[in-house]
Amino acid sequence: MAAVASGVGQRVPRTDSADKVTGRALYSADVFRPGMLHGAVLRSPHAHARIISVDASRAVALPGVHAVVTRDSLAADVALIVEEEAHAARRVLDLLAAEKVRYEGEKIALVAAETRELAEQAVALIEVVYEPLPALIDVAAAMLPGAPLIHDEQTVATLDDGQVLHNIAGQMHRTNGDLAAGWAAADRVFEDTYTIPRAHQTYLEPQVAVAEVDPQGRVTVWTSTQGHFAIQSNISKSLRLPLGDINVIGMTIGGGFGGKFGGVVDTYAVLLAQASGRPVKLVYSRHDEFLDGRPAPGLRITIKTGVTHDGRITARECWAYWDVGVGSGASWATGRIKGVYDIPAIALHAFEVHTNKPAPGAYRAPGAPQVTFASEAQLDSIAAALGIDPVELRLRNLPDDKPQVAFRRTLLAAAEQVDWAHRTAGPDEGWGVAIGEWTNGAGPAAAVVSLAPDGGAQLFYGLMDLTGTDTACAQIVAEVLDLPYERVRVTRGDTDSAPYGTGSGGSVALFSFGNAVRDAAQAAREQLLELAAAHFSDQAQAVTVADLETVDQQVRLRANPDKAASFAELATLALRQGGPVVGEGRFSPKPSAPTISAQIAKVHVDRGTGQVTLLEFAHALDVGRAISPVSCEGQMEGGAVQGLGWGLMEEMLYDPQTGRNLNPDLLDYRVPTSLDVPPQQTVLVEEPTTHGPFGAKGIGEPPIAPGIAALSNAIAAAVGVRLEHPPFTPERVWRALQGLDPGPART
Amino acid sequence: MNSFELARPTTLAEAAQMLAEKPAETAALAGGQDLLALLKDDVLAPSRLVNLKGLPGLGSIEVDRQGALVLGALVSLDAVASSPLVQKGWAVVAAAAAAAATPQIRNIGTVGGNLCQQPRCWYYRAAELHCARKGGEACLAVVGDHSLHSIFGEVGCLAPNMSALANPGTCLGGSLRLHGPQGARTVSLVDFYAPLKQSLATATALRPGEFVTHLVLPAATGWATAHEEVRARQSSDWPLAMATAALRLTGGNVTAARLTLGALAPLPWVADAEVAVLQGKRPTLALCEQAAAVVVGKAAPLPLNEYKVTITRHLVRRVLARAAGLGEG
Ligand SMILES: Cc1cc2nc3c(=O)[nH]c(=O)nc-3n(C[C@H](O)[C@H](O)[C@H](O)COP(=O)(O)OP(=O)(O)OC[C@H]3O[C@@H](n4cnc5c(N)ncnc54)[C@H](O)[C@@H]3O)c2cc1C
Repeated sequence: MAAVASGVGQRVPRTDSADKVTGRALYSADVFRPGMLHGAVLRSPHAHARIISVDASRAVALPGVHAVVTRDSLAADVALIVEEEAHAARRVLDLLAAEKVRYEGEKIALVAAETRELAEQAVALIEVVYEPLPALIDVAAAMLPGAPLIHDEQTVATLDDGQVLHNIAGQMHRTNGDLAAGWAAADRVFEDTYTIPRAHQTYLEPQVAVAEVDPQGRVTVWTSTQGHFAIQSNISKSLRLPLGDINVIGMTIGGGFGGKFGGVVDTYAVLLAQASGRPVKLVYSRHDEFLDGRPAPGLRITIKTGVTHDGRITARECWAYWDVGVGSGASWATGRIKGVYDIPAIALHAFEVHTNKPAPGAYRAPGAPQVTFASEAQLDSIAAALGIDPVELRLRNLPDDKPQVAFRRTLLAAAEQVDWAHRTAGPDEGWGVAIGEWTNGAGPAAAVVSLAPDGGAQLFYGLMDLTGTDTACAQIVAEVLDLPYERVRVTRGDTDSAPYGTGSGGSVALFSFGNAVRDAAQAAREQLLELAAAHFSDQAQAVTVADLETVDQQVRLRANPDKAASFAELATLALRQGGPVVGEGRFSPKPSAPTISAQIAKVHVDRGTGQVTLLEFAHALDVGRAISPVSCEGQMEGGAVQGLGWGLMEEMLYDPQTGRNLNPDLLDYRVPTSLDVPPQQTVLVEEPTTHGPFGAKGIGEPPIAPGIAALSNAIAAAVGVRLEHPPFTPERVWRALQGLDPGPART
Repeated sequence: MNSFELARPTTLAEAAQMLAEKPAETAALAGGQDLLALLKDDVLAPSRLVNLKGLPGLGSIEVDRQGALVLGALVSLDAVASSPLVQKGWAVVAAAAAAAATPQIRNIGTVGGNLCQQPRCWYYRAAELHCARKGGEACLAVVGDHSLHSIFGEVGCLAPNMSALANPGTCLGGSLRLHGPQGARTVSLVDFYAPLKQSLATATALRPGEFVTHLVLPAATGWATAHEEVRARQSSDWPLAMATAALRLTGGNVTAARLTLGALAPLPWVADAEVAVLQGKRPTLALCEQAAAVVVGKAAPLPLNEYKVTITRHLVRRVLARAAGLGEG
């Protein structure tokens, strides 16, 4: 294979950029169907209340209203079922609140009307009588034996030591190794508690779906999702419809970060379309997003670590309390408390605690930023206490690099980028380092690559492109077929047309689909070469595939370059001889290798105002193989900014009195702007993994993981105080500098 | 959002008359950067908006015969920030305008709208909640989350005044020209916001039908000034605290000192009396620090906004030091 200028490893613009910047890309809100209605949702203004009555008669009577769906109008056997294959998560929730509302913004009723304004007007006419109940926002308060139960008696847990805890959705306990021996081997034991607030994915495009039901009951859904097959299956399970009766069309997505695996709007749009007999569009506002999205869970975690005088970790134990709101599923991420270090003995105790907040969902490397903050911040304080350089302490506990694994190389690459050994800091400036790990999963994938009569390639599959995967897959086809990537047309099928494929989450997408695409392109290439061999063969000479090479979109004889045929000629010839050139590729999950993201931040802390200014930021990531280096850097920068945002300013705040979300908008829920984050220095490390396409690892998740810890460690280096509660706002920095605790629970 | 009628007056008199007809149900519209968000969030539901943008004579930046700066109410914040005239003679005003909000909002948001913006408070801005500012019984921030709220001034509402222009404007002795059904009048900025002290229902001195036509700032010659803000985010955000200082120095000694604080009290917080400790003295960093301590001595923070006291102390020291030519303080 000759190197293609836009093949694997080349820096090329994304294939979707032009459509996006010129407004041509079609998002779900751009879908308009004949006779389409607009949906609106009645939401609870209370975080916790008994519903005494719901009277929708005035809404039903409003002219222009075509459907009002309340709890009473739902069939008895429906529920909201959301399964995330990519994150191995499953949630079963009420579709609409029944006897109680359990968080502010919980859905109570749905309306479909001629216009959105009318639908909202109708919603306001629905009369609900509530009996408010005390709201629980803090996991510690929610677990107290006297706390009101948000769900039922089954959430009362009695621990082995007889302790009774309330509002427990689930537990996970695990021990590996000989803990007693680990503690015995320790010269020092450190115990610290950290609190991480909920953070929202804040994708640019809010949740949106359009649903249509034909007279036979067949459903079509246009939506913004990370996995259209997951949406299809969730709707089928939630509303008990045959899978084959649902077609989901995944439109261009304006960001997801784990939050777009469905169950937020899609199923509800279908309910309204069924009830009204008309297509219905349901669009979330930013306010809806914060009240009733599926943000990252908060975490209160105590971590105890034993070390030798020379900084080797001998044992670790942790107690994690995940704020899962009315949902569940988060505790599995507690296992990340080990990091990638060699720790001989480790024990975890994880609890999922109900509060009066919406169910959490996945957010980029689910659980990793929270847990990594605790373990990497504590490691930094251990380094300081032992007088060991923080990079050196990490190296002492990292396993040796070996094929597929490059932890040390990655950490050292980040350190080298900032010349760590010779780093300098002015007054109240400091450097912090942290590493986060992730091993991508994998999912089923399939792809079809065909050659058009003009010699261009066509790639067809069921992959939702969030991160530039269409570009990377076009580069793979270009590489295999020896074509410029512009000559590869990429088409995403809907669930009716595309072969099944995994959703784009958990960094599985390119790892899984890349393999299928490579194999499909390879199969197409073989057909093309075989055709050419037959074409070039005559009485005088029998040409075999081995005699051929591809150059400039031509197949030619190695020995006689004048004997050549263009891809277009061959693809056209194929129409008469054997049929069109079509290759297919299939993939089922195979293991990847772990990767780390190593980040180093330099900050200045203003002791007077508590402002933390990020001065420098370096970031190394082992990507396995950078198929699309520009996209890799984009993932690193974007992920890092999300981690840094969580560390500097992002948190969902809840009113201690009422349990209401105080900052349900992008003014008061602050995400960093370009003025808050300096340019990043990104370093791509390439240690290929066996089963990754061309050696590539899944890299979307890890960049978000270490940022909070890198910041807290830099702050500690700058002003000598350790902040245990992100984000590190002027208020929290002030509290730490005063030696105060982080203050009452507000997150 | 409520349906409303959009009225488009073309003369000041017509605007005053339209605003006066049903004052409780009418709102003046300028750039709409604050008002439209309040309408969309159902916090306000006027049945009529009177669009001021068609009014003549409110769009210019001028210096009058007395040397005072006259800013039309429809001048954009960006125009204020980038005006060489303002930058030269009233630098703190240009600096404050340049720091506000975002480039997009500064392009559209106006002087009048900035001065008359509604309180920034997450309780006030939640449609379902009935706080003291909306006629309810209690200020919900007192028992709730007041981390962004006032540390000075007792008016029964903790929502701070956030106006970027009101702060330096007050410090420089600015006043407003108002126009109403009875014609034009002028009030000082201090008097403009003072009615809040009497009743939460009357946030400003505007009478039914009245609106702001101009912000007038006397010539600042002879004053050494400085303005600073502290923010949790460097764009798209309001400050946690802002301070403007103006000093008159004669022979190296302070002969007059003024200080106004913003985002820290329900109205621009004038601390001229507290910084009088500088009077007659040669400024030093220690003296600035002493004055700052006196200023924050008046603060009455609640548990979650105590940090603002420290911020304020540092901010005051810095603006006094900068105004006195002592560097960054
Ligand atoms: C993200 C964001 C960040 C912001 N950050 C800051 C900041 O840092 N500092 C700051 O000061 N502001 C900030 N703001 C507020 C912004 O500056 C103001 O919203 C803007 O200046 C208002 O101007 P406008 O012309 O759009 O006012 P409008 O929205 O049109 O009006 C605002 C209010 O003033 C009244 N009004 C308008 N003009 C007149 C008049 N001539 N006479 C009487 N009443 C009038 C209206 O009735 C309304 O109640 C921010 C706003 C946003 C959205």
